[in-house]
Amino acid sequence: MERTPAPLVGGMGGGAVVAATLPATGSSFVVTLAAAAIVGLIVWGIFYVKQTQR
Amino acid sequence: MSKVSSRQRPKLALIIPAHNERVVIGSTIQSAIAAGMPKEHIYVVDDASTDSTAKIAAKIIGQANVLRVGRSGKAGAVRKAFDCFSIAERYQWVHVADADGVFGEGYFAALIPRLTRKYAAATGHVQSLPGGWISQFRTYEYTIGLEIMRRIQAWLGVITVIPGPTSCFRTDIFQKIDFSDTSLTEDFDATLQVHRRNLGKIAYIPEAKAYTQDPKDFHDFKVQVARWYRGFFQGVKKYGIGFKPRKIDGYIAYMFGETILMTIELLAVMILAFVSQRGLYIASVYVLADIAFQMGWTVFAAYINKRWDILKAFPLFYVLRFTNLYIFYKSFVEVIVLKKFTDTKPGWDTRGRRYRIQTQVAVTKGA
Repeated sequence: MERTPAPLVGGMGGGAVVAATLPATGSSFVVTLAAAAIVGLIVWGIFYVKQTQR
Repeated sequence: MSKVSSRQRPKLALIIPAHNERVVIGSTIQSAIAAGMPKEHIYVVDDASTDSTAKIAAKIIGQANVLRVGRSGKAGAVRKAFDCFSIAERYQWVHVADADGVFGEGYFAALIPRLTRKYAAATGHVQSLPGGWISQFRTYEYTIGLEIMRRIQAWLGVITVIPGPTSCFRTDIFQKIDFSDTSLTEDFDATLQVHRRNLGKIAYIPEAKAYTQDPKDFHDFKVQVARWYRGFFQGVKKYGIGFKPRKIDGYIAYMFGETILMTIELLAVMILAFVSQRGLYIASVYVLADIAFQMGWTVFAAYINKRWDILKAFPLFYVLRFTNLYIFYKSFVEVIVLKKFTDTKPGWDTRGRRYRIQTQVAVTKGA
């Protein structure tokens, strides 16, 4: 509708900037959580597509 | 036809251009009548349809209000109807609506009182009709684009597009707009003309809600988005957007710049993730923040529209967002760098993506 994809493209870049300025406390937990979130979204997406194709 | 003063004329005429819209034209007209538009002020222009579009329209609004024209494209067909039905002499405002739309309850009651001489044009609020995952994504996209961005644009006086399903012009202004243009997106082109030629302000009337059909599958989605973005760059190029000290230049430059910045940020984060442990941490925060942020907007869109079904398709929004981004840059290269689409023929992009709308009540209550 707006004819540019801007508001939908990048998400919370601010989060990355803040992360860059903070000490990386609990970084392995954050990395694991992000990986789990990505896998979760992929599984959810596949499940949704399969369900709608039925 | 005797001339009457502008104040004595009926306020608004509705023109619906159509090309092979047998499946939806009846429900669109009926929804306009149900939304408060007297049928004697509704006009359909049938652009060389090979189906029963004109016949269905004539049954509802009468043969006298239906015009059949040779293949003209949407903008050309509207212009012919405007002239044929003497809209400028008989009405103060003209509303053009796509044949696949549905007007929400009270649409014209909300719109008409706001149509004053203070404005050159007006637009209502567009929302997606219930449908599959594309419609679910568009519900989210339109909500951000209209509930948030459009209100800011209206406040700043930089509405970037008067969209096809809900575009309204003062008849004297409509006559000044060149609709014979060969833009792929005539609504964006017309909006830029309003800004460039200082024709007046554009009103945004969020209470006037119209619903539109979105592409039914991924292929049609890509075709539509490519047309939008190519049309966007055609307009930017044609009107030299970004090179004049005007508000609309500043705003569109900001939108374009925001896309570029977001892309750079995305690429930087991806590279960082591969080069160091700390980079991986930053990328992880970025991913989690993005998911949280987008989920927040999706819940907001679901709540505002009472469309909780859109939450189910959330992971697929990522596919469509990145498709949008890819087509945006591809269109930039095609139109600005390679100088393609300089002489496009205006036409219709909706063939094959129509589905029957049940009833207006079902749409407005279910949406």
